[in-house]
Amino acid sequence: VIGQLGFRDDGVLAGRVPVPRVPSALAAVTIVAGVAAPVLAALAPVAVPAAIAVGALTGLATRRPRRPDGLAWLIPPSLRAVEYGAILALAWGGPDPAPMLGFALLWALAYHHYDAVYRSRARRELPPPWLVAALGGWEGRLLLVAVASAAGVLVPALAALTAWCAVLGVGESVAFWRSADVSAEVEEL
Amino acid sequence: MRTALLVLPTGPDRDAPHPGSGPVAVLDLVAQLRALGRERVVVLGPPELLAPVRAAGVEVLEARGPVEQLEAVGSCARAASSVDLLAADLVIHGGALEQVLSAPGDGVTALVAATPLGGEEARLEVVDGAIRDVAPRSAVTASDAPRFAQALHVGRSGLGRLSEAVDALMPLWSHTAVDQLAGPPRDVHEQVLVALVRSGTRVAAVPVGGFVAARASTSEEVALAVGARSRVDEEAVRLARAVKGRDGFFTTYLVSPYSRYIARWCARRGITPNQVSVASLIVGVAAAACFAVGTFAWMVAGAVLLQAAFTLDCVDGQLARYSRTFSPFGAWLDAVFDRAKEFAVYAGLAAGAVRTTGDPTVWWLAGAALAFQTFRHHLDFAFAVHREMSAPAREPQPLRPSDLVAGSPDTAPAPRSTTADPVADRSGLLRAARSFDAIPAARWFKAIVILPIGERFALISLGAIVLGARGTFVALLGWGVVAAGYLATGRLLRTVRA
Repeated sequence: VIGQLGFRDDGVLAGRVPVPRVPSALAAVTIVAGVAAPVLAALAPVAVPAAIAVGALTGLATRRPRRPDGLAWLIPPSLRAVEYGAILALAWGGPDPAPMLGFALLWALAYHHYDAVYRSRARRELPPPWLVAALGGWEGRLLLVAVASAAGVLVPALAALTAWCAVLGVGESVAFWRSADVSAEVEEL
Repeated sequence: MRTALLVLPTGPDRDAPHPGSGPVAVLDLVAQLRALGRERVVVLGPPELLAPVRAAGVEVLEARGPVEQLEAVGSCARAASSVDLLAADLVIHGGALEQVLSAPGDGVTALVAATPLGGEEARLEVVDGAIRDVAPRSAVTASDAPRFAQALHVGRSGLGRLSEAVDALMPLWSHTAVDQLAGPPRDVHEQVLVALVRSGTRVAAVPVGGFVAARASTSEEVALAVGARSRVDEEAVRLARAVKGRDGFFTTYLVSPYSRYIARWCARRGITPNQVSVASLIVGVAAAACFAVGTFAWMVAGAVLLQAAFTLDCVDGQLARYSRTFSPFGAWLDAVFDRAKEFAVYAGLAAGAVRTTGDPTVWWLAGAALAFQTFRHHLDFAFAVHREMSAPAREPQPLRPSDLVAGSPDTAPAPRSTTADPVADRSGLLRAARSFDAIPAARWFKAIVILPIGERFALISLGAIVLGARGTFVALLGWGVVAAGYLATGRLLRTVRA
């Protein structure tokens, strides 16, 4: 069940974009773009959209790496990098409660992503597809935050997205772990 | 029904009992197994040796040779919820038995000793906490090769594999007579271990550690072994074994030395690991609330509470290992609460800084620290999965008649290439890193530089007092970048040409 690529957290959108076959080393570009976005937000805000676009496009492209080569393990973390980096970069430029709401959204997303790892270790399965789709996928959330930022409604968008991800993500996960007949051990981290 | 089978040594000839292999210490072992919750304890052996055991009210199964013994193992396994296979002449600490018989998970575990037990125990090749091979050539020649300490536990999920192992051994005996073997046959529990390992089943290796495990067949040997056992402070060893073997520097030297006593205190009062986890979360959230006030005195209070929360975080794992109460839900709770505490403290620090300075951008720094920490963890997880998947697969190996011979067989399988890193020998940088790792101080430096949870919480406590919230986040991010760079260099070198 757990392929070499791990948990991408692709939403509905990512599955519909046709992508060429690329080497998984491209994930390194996604990481650089994701880490650069919040740094650029402080230093050169003009370049932020470019960094996010590069990160998002390379992130989409690694959906079909040319072959599962030695660097394929970089792909799932690279998608965390671009999503978190874009949220930080856009929250930096937003009006007052945006930084705090950005923190809250990142917390909810971190819960979802850690949970996927704990599940795959203990049960060799991933969060159910309906949950992944309902949470929008990394690319869906990124697009929503970017559009809301451009439209000047970043604060209500961050608040609504945070509440949605926290309630649904944590709720489903707690229900899963309470009912799970788990045989393996989750290691302390 | 949890079943334990005690195997009397078969001796060099299948019909004649081994001289002096009478059940001198069996009753002691039976009592230890009953104390560990085994509902059915059966002693397996030739009828003439079983009389004193039967007279003591212990269930016996008469089995003369390997085939009859294997049949007995198979029939017991069918009615059991778990099966333990042990040498009947084992003199051992109950604490050591507990380590192997109630290991976390419900797979297969075997007790492993660093020194000989006094018999012809199989030598093992142990890799990453599991037995990769039994009596491989490399292990036979190495005098310090670990040995099978004569206790094998098959949990619920391993019972199918146990039946298959018995089924694989049977035909081997049907066309191999004992006197055709190059030496004395292995005892049946060792045969089963070999068959399980050769079939590719993961057999976790549990070290005897500071406990005593010895084989004693004569009354003099039993007296010696019991004497050696009574000279060891079993309680001290149990407590030491409750501490996680591989942990960070801060945890190992500044928390575990005293937290283990809190764990024992909790165990004696019937407090469960999950209750301690919840207490740790509450104290952690209280620390976050103190940080949220933002004034110096409250920052100091928050720092102290955060350290208390971290101590409790170490206690829950130690309590679980000490009281042998493992649960997947508990492990999950521990992991999730760790993240909850850490990120609640980030939120508290940010809220406190906003209260005292009015600058909302500190929330952004808190978000950056959270995001970077999560990203780093996900790099670790992904690399761990990659390593697991690129490790050489355990191919099932056929059983040979030589596998039935005790001690060191002449025709052990050829040593396999054990280099998991194909680039290891070519990269000078990696080679330099290896020799660096050989220095203990360097190992600790490496353990600290990657900023594990103990060091992180210490940095937050100290930073909250000395640097304030903003400085703490900058320090976390700065150290995190160094750690990520350090780890990335090694990992890319390992995978880029693999």
